[in-house]
Amino acid sequence: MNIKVRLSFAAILVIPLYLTFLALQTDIAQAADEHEADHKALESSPEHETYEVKVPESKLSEVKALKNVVALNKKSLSEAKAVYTGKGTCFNCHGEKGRGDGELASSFEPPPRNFTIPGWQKVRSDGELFWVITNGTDHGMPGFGDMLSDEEKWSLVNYIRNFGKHSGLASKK
Amino acid sequence: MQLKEEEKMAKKMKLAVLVLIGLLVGFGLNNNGYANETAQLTTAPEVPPALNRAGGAQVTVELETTEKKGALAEGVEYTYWTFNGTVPGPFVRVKEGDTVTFNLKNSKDSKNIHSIDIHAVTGPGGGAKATQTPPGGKTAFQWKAINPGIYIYHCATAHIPTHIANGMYGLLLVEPANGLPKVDKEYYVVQGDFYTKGKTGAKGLQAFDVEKARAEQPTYVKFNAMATPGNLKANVGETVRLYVGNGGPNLTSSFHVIGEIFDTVYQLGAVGSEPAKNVQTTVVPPGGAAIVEFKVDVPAAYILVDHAIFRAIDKGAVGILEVTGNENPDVYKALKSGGADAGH
Repeated sequence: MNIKVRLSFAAILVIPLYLTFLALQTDIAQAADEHEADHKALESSPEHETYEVKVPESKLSEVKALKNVVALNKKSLSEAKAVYTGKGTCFNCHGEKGRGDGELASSFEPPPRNFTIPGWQKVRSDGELFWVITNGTDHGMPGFGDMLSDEEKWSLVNYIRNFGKHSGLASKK
Repeated sequence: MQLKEEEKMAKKMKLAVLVLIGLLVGFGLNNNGYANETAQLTTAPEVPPALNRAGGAQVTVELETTEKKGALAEGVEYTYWTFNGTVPGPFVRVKEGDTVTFNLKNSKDSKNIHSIDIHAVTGPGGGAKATQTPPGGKTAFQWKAINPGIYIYHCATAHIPTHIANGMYGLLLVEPANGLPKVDKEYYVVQGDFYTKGKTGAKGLQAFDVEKARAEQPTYVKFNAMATPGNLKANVGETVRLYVGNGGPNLTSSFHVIGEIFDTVYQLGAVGSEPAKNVQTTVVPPGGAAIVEFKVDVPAAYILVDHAIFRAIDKGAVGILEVTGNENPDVYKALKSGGADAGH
């Protein structure tokens, strides 16, 4: 095989590899840009205010340190679903699929939390979710301090995390 | 032996005396007005009888919140949220000085949390803080009826306007210590404005329209939207008292009875204030109530309206007081027949 043929073969092999490499680089860069854009959009969006920490500053570190005492398994998720769609009445506002589109959603301004939003799942700790379920918010979310047991509330935290996982997210512990 | 017998007798006597003292104390307490009673509740337009006793009783009130379908107009259905299955909820009657234990149950079939804010209550949220009740749950609180008057109660669970718009309100009367003046007939009427997705008259099951509610543009305005049907009734010569509430959520009522003049009005339900006399139309704001009294002198069907008259004629704010008895030409008589031949 002469040198020209060898070079041609090398070019045939190398050029697609290089092009693939370039494409990958672009994808990675684009993904990074999109990620940053997401964050920027989140911070500058009108919704950003609703991402504000709900727990009082004085209790935040203590609340964030809380650990979910309910194991995440089929049984506990099934029990949580019964609370979510039953006496917890969560589905009325947050929707069956956690998208914040329940029957009563339009009555609330700002609208009920969409649990499938990646940004929100990332910024909230389990402890904060537990605290909000217990104490409610100024935006119309009732406090369930006396209405649900701690176990039921922690199960709901798992259930809410599951909405995030279904949208391809990992929970922030 | 004899000594033992005497000891036994002495013991028996002691026991008898103790039992007697117990009975006397118990009787004495009851006579002092510290009786326990469960409040008699009535569905609109009925009102429980006047309380023939002093204030200071321990009264228990039991209410259950439910969500159920009912008629809003002919061929129009609506899913009401209710106290005890009616709109308005039951009439509650207590007396100044009573201590009231309020038990709230939320039906297991409810989809929502419910609660109660009673405007007669002095305390957090008028009871709402203590009564956020999940489906299938029970809550309770105790309060003292300090201020006499006629008061609205309503659900106060987020989103509060939606709960009220769906029919969660009623009236509670705190009778003054000496009671209200005796009348012949008492009735209970509450106005409410309703907001449906469909236009006024659109048939079928109608969903709540929050945008119309925010814009305060009701599709229906009703008296006793889902209560006992039928007319109010009285006989010529009787004095009628109406407890008129307004659940809202939005509209202020211009309450009027066509063909009558209110002889007496406790404006804004202010029992204890000097009542107004000779009133044609009285204002009843959302979350408020009034007591109107009038003697019926002439037989007729008297029509109760919100005199913001589109609400009455086009949206349903109409009720009828049917007065029967002898004509009273001294007070009223028609001078010319309005029959088919009139004008020809």
